[in-house]
Amino acid sequence: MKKARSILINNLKEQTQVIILIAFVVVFSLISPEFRTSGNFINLLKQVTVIGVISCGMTIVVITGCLDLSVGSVFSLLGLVGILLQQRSNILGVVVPLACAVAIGLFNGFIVTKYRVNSIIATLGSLSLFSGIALLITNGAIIAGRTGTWFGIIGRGRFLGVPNHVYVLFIVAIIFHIILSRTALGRKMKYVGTNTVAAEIAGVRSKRIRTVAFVISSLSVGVAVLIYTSRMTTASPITGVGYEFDAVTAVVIGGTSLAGGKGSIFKTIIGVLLLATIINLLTLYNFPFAFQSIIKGILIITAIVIDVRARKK
Amino acid sequence: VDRTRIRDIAVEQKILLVILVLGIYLSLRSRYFLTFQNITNIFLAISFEGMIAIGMAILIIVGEIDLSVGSVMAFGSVLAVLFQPYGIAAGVAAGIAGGAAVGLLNGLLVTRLRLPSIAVTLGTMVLMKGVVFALTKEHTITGTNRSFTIISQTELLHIPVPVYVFIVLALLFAMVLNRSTFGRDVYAVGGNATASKLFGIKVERVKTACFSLIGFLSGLAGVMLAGKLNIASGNIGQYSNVFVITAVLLGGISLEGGEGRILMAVEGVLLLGIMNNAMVIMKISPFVQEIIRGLLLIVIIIIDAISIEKKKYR
Repeated sequence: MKKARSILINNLKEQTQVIILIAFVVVFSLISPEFRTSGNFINLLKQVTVIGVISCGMTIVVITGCLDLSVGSVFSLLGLVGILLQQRSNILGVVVPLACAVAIGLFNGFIVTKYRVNSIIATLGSLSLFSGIALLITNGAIIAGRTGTWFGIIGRGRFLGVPNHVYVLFIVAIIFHIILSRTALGRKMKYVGTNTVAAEIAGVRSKRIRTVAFVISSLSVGVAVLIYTSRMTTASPITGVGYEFDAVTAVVIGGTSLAGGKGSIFKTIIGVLLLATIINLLTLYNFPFAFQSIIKGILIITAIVIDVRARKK
Repeated sequence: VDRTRIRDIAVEQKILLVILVLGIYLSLRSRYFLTFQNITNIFLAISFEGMIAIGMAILIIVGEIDLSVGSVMAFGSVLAVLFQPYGIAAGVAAGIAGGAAVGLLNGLLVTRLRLPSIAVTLGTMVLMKGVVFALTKEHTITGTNRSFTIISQTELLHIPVPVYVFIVLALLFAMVLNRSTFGRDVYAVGGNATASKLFGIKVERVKTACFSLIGFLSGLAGVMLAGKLNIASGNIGQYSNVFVITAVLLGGISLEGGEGRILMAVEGVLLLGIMNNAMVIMKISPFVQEIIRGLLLIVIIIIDAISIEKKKYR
């Protein structure tokens, strides 16, 4: 009996974020009639799919001990590439952004691993690089694709009343979860993030593992872009501005450690929902947009404090 | 014997050589480049982020980094605009004090709670951007005190004040690093924090001072920037962290810490300033300029990483 209780308490301690999320939803539902409508919940889910998919990819990079700050500008760039091609052919509009995503991931991974440079500063460079390319492609203009084709199926279609892109997020999360928890690749990612030197001595090729992580991150940006372009059939060179911070915030408040080695997709999904719930309430109560940024900043710092404290114990 | 000395000097002053070569090339290409007006423009353009680069150089030498400088600069300029109805001095003081306060906050978070500076300042960068947007209600705000522009538009010998402020600060902090106990402590802590602690240096205090200093300088840069056109907005300083870090690394200060001089940062800033000026003269699109800046940061950080690696095996 005692043992069962201590296991329960330990489990609860591990799931702080889940409890906070449930508490938020319950409290917000009680205080706000607008919040507890089913329309609002579906809206909330619709809003998180793009950033949710990006955050899943970011989780993988963070677990290997790196950070990818280029995701926002890569999102803008891939969106433009996708819509430009979709104007001619739907298939190209799907395939080429994903192919570009792989190439960009390899580029980031190569720079970070080949020369062992700090991933934050390196991807700050590629953020600037890709956002410049995105602005250059259309000279800063917003572009629109062809509507009324099967291209819109992910973004606008529904299955059993739930938008199709919610399923996409679900599928991406499950695949990434399996990669992390059930495969040799996932185990190696955690080794590399925990202790690169030890992992290398044990025969793990850390450079290759980290490069794969960056490719997965870019690829998930590619998938997020498909959701976005399919829903909006437009793209602008500044669509993705700030997505990198949203993703980092979601990953960190979910409880994945920025130090690497620890974390899970489940935590990130909880982080994404937590962030979305807070922002949803701010929007419902007409708080200015600026408050979102303030809250995100505070959440990032708080999460880092909690993480560092936890690791010291 | 002489030849090796010349080569040593060339290696040591490589940035200066690049500046010289680039300058000669540009003056041949454009008659406008080597005019007094253009050179003044270059210096004026770099003076704001140049002030921040002085702080970033010291912070990188002490072994930390600050990504929030752009948001803090915007914060300083917004405070300067908001407080100028109470007088020019109030505007200036508010901007500088606000910047220094954020710097102090960064420093306390990093040293007291032992958090990684790159992650903390990523957080304060997002946070302060939000604060700035909240203060400006997401608009460009205009100052009401018309005489506020005297702080940046006044010219001595046809050179505007911010240029003097930048140069004086560079000289001042070059001396502080070279001659004072604080400077010695900065190098010691950056070289080996554990050993410095054993020698009785208050590592936390030195680092907090460095963070406060860069906050102070970012706030000051924001104030001077606000004085230029007497406007402020949340879009100020969006890429300042990229610019400043690129400049400092370009000047040859390594992210490893413990080494570097203020002059190097100034040279890096100057080179970037001349490059920006050249890109404008050559009518390169601002979008391409952004691409070039991104690539430059990537190349510089790779060169830095290679030289750190080399040092290890020597």
